[in-house]
Amino acid sequence: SPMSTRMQSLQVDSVQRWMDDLRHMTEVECMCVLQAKPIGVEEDSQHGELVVTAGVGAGDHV
Amino acid sequence: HVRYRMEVSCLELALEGERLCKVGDYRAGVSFFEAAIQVGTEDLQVLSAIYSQLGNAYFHLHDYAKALEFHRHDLTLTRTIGDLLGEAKASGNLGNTLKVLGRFDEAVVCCQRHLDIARDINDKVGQARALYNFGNVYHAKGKSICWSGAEPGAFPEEVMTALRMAAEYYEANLSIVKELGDRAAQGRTFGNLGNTYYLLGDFGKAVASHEQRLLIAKEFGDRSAERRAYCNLGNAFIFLGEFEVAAEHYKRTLQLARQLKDRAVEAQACYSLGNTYTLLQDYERSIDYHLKHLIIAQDLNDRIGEGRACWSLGNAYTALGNHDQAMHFAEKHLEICRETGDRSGELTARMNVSDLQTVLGLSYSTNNSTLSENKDIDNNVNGGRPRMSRRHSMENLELMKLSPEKMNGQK
Repeated sequence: SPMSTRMQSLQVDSVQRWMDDLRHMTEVECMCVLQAKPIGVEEDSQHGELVVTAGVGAGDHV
Repeated sequence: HVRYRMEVSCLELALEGERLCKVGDYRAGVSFFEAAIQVGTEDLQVLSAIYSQLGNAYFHLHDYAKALEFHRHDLTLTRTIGDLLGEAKASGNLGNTLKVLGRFDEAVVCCQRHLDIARDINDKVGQARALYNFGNVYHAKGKSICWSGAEPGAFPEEVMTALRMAAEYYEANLSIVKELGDRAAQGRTFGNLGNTYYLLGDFGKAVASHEQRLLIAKEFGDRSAERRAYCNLGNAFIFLGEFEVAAEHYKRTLQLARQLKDRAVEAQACYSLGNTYTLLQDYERSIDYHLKHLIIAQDLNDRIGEGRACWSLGNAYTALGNHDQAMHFAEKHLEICRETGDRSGELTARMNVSDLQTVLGLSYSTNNSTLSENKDIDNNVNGGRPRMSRRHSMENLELMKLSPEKMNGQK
């Protein structure tokens, strides 16, 4: 019946909306790696690498 | 000896700034660095380090205009004194700052300079970093266009080009960090590469990358990274049409989100599970997860999430033929959409309420305010009853897109 077809489509539209969002959604790694220039002489072991998670565009989930 | 005392003073201030930044007090660190610059120094290496650290401190404080200013100073200075390694670092930092500011073309120039210097001085670690930064710039560029470009499904060619560039640079980075045996760096790159392939629509490659990311996360006992990998894998399996596998990955995401006490991620995982079980036509399980999502959304005061949960619950109960419960959630969905000013959600909710009323055998003359308004809006917005045809054409499309056989065929 037409009504049951409509009811079927009902179940789908919220899923479709979720999938549309999902298509853009990613759980990101740290997107900014800044490098430091140490002033103090101690521990230059790691080349003074400094890992920073992106402040902008990081909160990726809806 | 007067100059000697000034030198010490500048260095002391700078060292205190550095110490404060190391413990995360960037605000105070900035004051000391700025004081150090006021005092001044003739040691240009120290001055370069101060500019660089000040730029990074401002970056942490999200003051990107200031970060840009000091990384620029550092770049100019390193060029003046012919410090190649210093110039490479300054270029990298400036590139990151320009990227965050959305100035991608300028960021690319910086990344290229960073890479050129690293190649000239045969610095493998530097090359790897430059390539990673490059990948990130193109990734961010692609994403920034596809966020503003609204239309779901097909991304504009400009986005695809940027994402393909990102994938190339990440792959190039990967071959160096593999050679260097740097597992942590490999983990990050696999994650970003997986996301890039995912956005490009290459879900098979996305899965392969995220599986590597997962493996490395486990090696390091990094549960946040593990959680991200499971979630990304779940998403990719959805688009491969492998819903059972997706559900398993979302369940691991959920477990880890609970262990890590991240309520928002827990809610998102429940929501994904609810939708995945709808795709699997297991409506009882779907309802179970949507209810869990609803409770967390309410706890977190996330009205939009709550609206989504009610919409989904209404639909799942409809599928089970439980029209009373379906009506309850459809009405709640309507109420929330009105409150949040979600016009299209409101229309959908109205249609659902009215469909359910028909099913429940309620007449349109029932003295119910929702009903009378309902008719008005439908007539105003859709000018009569075109919604039937709209929905009929849409539902065919949707059912086609969602059929698992079709999706498997795309692999």
